[in-house]
Amino acid sequence: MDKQMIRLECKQLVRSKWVQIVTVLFVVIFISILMIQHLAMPDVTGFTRQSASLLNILLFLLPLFMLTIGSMNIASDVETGWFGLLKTYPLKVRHYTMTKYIALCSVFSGIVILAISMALLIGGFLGGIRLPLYFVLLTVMMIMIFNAISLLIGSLAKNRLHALAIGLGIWSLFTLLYSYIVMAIGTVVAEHILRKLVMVLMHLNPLEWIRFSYFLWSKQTAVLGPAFYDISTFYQTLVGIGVYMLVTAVWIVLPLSMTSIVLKNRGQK
Amino acid sequence: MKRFLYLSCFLLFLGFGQTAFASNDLQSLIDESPAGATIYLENKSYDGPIMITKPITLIGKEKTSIQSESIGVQVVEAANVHLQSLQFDVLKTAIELKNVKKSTITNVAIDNSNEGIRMFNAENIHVNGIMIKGKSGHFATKKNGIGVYDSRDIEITGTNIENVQDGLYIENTMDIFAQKNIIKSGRYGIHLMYSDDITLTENEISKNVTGLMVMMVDGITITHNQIQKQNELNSNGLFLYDVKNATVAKNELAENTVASILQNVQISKITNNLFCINGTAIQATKASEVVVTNNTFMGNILTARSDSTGFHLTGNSYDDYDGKDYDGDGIGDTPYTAVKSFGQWMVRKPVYQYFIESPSVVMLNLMDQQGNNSAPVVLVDTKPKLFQSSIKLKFKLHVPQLILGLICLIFIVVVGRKLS
Repeated sequence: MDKQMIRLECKQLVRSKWVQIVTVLFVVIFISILMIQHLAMPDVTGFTRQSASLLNILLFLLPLFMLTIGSMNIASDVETGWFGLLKTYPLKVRHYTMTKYIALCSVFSGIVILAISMALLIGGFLGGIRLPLYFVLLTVMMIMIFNAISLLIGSLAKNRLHALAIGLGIWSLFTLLYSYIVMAIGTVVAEHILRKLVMVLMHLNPLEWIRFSYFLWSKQTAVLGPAFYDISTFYQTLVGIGVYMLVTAVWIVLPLSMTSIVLKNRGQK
Repeated sequence: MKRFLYLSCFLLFLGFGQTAFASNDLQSLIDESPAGATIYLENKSYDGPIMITKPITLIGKEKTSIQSESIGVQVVEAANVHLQSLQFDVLKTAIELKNVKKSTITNVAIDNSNEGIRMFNAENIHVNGIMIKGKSGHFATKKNGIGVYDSRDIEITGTNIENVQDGLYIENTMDIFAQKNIIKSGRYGIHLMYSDDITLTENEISKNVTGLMVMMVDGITITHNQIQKQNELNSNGLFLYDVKNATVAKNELAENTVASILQNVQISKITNNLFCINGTAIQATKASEVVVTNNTFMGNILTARSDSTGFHLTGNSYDDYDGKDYDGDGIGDTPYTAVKSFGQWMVRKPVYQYFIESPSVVMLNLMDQQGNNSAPVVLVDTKPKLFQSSIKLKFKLHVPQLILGLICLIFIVVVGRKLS
């Protein structure tokens, strides 16, 4: 991978108006919710409506931004012929994918760091805010997973509009439709079947996986209810941690590998 | 030589005999004392079990302790027995009262016993200033802090109980008054069964599976208690089951998985309480006669969920109420709907709890709010009070965070400028 190329990609992303608007939006909402939590609520460690709001901001907004920006970025390269031009150079598709991936991860990490630093700065005048480390790590994990998925979407799209459409579709599926479908199934199947279904499907939706990770890392799995006691306990064992890391790695590596394969095939055609 | 040896052994035996007799002298002292006597104990350890069957007062010093491998002190068929300033190091039960009247237990410390105090058929007993620390381990292997059975007129105040099965276990008892007790880390903080006329006030109940478990009770007043941090799996702050004539007022219920569960509750009132940062504030089934009024609901994930009969919700203030008060009377102009489809699903199928406050459920609740405005359902407060926001801006420097924030911001600005 060429550092110059990563730098170039980062430059293009930072200069993008879309990314700039997204940054302002994210920072404002993130700080607002954190401040409301800090000022209006007693200092508690449990899962509150405010901490849920903060988590939902991450779960709602970040994937939306990443899926649209990332997918359109790579689709744009294909659409404008930039990708075709790059292929005339001795550049492997794998390297191209990784360059894009690292650039996207860096820029989104920058947005999150900006939001956190602003929150810390403001909170520093108000007695300090409580921002757990697991929350920051969870954000990093989210950035790594959803940027990988966004590249896959971009590689599958024919053009930028197509990428945007698929990106929004996948986002709504992950955030809303998926849960509604599972809840709807729950109305017609027995409770024990629904429980197993949720447990399986939690691994198949990266958003649900990240949400489950939040409860796991913050040691608040009790919020999920008694039905999920066994799986929560399992993921706290040594084997469970191994499986957890494997599932997370699959959600990063699989989309990236598929992106490389798809782009390679497109290049050959 | 042999004679000398035998004599030595005999003297040695005699010596041990005297020591054993000396360590048991408390029982003799009690037996020899007249009824109504006061015995001042020394700063030493006495061997139990001690049996008391007449009016007597035992007053210990700072380090007076009673050791036993079974019961520490057993009071049977007596009145006017007063135990004061004692420490217990016993395996089973520290103090047992059977058919005892007009007695007090004051300033007693019980460590690592299987059970603290238990009383049967007791009447007019005052327990005050008791410290009970149970053994470590699962509460299923332990007994209660204070157990009261088939008794009446019992007052328990200023106790500090932790690591036992139930802090206070009260069964088939009349006239109970419990005040300023601190009970934590047990199965149930206070467990009441088949008992009537109970007052629980100013107690601090925290980190139990269930804070207050009230079952089959007629007439209970629960006021000014702090019921907090019952936040494990299946935990709840207050559980009323098959209860009549309950008044729950001016309590603070915070950070519980479910703040209060009402099942088969009749003619009861929940008023002026603060429900703060709980998973669910009130969960009710068969509680249509319960009136919930003048309470404050703040930061709870779900305000209320119930079966189709619901309960009366009126004049409370809710931090998630988004109505307006154009006539300025402090009452919102539109009703507050506590019921949410998702909350009702959770009552029917607890597995749905997995989705609590997930993005999809937040959206669902928003849609629900719009829909419910036009469709009257259960758990609607037609006179919601406007929530008094408690946002206070206090400037106070937190230097490490300020420096960290500044460093991160400078880093981002520098990197951003280089890239743009």
